[in-house]
Amino acid sequence: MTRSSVVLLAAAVVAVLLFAPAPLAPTRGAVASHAGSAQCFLGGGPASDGVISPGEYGETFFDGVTKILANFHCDASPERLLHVGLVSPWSGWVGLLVQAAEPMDGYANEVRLAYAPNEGGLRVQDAYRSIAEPTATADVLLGGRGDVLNVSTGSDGPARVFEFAIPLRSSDPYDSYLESEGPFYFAFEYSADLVDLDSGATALSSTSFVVEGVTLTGTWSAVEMAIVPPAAPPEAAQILLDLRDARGFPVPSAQLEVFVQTAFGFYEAGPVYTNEQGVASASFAPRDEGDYLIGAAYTGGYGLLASVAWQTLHVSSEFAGNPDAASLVGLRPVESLIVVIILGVWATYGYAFFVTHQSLRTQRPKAETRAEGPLAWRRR
Amino acid sequence: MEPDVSASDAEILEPLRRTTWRFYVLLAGLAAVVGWGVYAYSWQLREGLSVTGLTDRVSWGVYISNFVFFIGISHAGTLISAILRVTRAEWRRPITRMAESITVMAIVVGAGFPLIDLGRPDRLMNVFFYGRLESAILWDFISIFTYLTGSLLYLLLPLIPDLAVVRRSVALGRFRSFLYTRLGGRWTGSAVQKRSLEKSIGLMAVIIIPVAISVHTVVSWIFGMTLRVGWHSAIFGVYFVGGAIFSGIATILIAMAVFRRVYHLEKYITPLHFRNLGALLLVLDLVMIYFTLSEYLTATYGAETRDVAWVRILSTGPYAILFWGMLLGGLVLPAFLLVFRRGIAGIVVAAILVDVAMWMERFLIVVPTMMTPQMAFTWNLYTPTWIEWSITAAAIAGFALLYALFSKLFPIVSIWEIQEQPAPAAEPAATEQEAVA
Repeated sequence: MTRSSVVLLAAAVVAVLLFAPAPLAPTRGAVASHAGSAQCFLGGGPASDGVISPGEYGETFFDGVTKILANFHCDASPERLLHVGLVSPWSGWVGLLVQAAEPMDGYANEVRLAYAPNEGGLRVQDAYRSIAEPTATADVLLGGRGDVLNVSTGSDGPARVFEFAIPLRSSDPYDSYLESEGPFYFAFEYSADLVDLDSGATALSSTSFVVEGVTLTGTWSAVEMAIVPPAAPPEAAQILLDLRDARGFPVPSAQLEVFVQTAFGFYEAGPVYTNEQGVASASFAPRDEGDYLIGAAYTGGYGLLASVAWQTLHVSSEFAGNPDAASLVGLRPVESLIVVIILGVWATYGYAFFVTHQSLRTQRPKAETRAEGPLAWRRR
Repeated sequence: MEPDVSASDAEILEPLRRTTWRFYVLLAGLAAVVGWGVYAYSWQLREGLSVTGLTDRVSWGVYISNFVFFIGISHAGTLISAILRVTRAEWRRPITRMAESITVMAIVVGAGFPLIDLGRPDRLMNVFFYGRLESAILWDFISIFTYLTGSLLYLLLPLIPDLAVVRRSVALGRFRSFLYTRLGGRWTGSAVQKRSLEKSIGLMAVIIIPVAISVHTVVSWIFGMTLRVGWHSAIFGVYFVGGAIFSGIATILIAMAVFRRVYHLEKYITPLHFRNLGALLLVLDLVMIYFTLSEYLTATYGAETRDVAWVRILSTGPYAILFWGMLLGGLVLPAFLLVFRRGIAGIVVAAILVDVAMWMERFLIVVPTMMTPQMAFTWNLYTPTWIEWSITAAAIAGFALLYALFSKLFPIVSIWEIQEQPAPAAEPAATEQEAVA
């Protein structure tokens, strides 16, 4: 085997290692779907104040892919206003795609919202887009108009709340698909950290619901969360959860999804099930110090609407603030000792190799060695 | 230039000078088995671990048994060479090279098995990217890598004077000439070089002993630190180290017998070496019988539900033949042979039985524990497939292939250590005939 072929082989191995699909690379957002009903109620809609109050909306959907909770309320006004409240864990923009005819195919109406506190605050875009394209074009640029109404934003712990309304019977030609009574197909998408509304989405998921009827199909539910933080990583944090219905009664035997935001997306730490007191618990062992966004969701059922709770877990290292231990961050004394021993072994290897190598590099000392041969020292 | 070897040393160099057609046939046979194993592995790589008998319950099987077995026999080099060198046992000299090379070959072959068991070898990178000091897997990786590097160095250092001899005494092709010049070309035999070499070898002999012991202790901790029946035991560290030295001695005995016969090294590898190593094998055999009784008797006497289930799988279950075969055929019978048949043939037969039994013992440590249910409804079964057997056969063939190639590239007996020996190790002919008989 020639030297060049060895180099080529080595390059090929390195290339395979570098470009092979990484096992922990973030996965592409899978398309999830949920089916349900939204009703248009007589009377007014919810208050647009950036706060989602108990019982304010008549229908909720929690999407497991985007982790966005959507609250819907359709009022029976002539315009058929659809009030929407989105609860998003993402710091980037969130979008709601609406389509009348096809399940997320062809063209759709989209409302994108973002909150940039240092760059003008709330951003809204009423847009029109092809599902196949990653970006949307504002209706006003196409000759239509922006008719997203009553927009407001607020915070719910670490999550961002957006409230707005869209007319289902809009006269805007780029919203024309929504003149029908339904069914309308909805999808959520988000950008994990970009507030530029023209940027591409991180993930997309779809859901669909039907606008019809005036009867109430579910009552409000609430997930509450309390976190017992660990003393230091990698000890586990305990996540205590409580699920209650609109009357404040505990909901037993309900499944709660628990998820923790990591560098690779959300890590599922659940599901867990509530006991007779409506209480469940999960644990999460953080790898390092830092802030971890933890969510818990009840996806609805048994006459109850979906609900979600978000909290940030702050984990500090036991070595934090101790400059003497700065070089041993993350290491306990025994582990440090093991590292020192291993380094000592390798240093011995290096020394043994160095000593022999140096002696071989020295000039041949005497002519007799050449004459007597390499094993002469053994015979003397 | 005249070769710098005596006529007797020329016998050691003979395998490097001449290669018969039998060697090529052996090489082709071993390469064919290795090739078949590579084909089987490519099948597994394509189809996933579902082509093996492994399941989500029994996730460690033949592959991990092979890993523990090969890491175990790698202790041959440590014991024979390092310990005997440190204790200045002069009779060690003709067999140190064989022992040291067994170590390197066994680690190279054995260390590949966790990768094969992974199914996705690219996941090895996770050890680098996401390795944690709390993980026994990381300890294993570090200790094995450290042991392999140390063993390579410990093999290379005593080779340097011999390579200078070979370079001047044997007609070489381009590859071998390049190899020997790079590795030992600057050796002149000066006093400075001698002192440096002895210092380095002495240092390595001292440091490689704790490294070798740590390696098999860490391998045992992968099991012992898991809360599973049959594994969570305080004696697992010494049990594994004892078993490793036991199988290591057996392997070096087999290698000695093969090279003695094939390369006509009777003058160097004498009955004395077989008897001394046979005595060591007997001591380790008795130690292993003691450990084995202690391990299984404790579990049986405690009669904890899952312990009972585990002992039942071993003693009367699907692996009963393996279990009793290992105990009687691999521990008790060799002890009888080593006591009552102290000739070369008896010792070598005992060594073969020990090696087979130690593989079975590794399998019995790994699989029955994983079969034992953690919950009442999770009984598990494991039957290795042809893929696993093929890869296992390829590993054994690969080990033999590497060893055969090594013996053709380097002197299998250390020339300079033989010359340094104070008195001839050869025994009276009558004694040898008696021993062979």
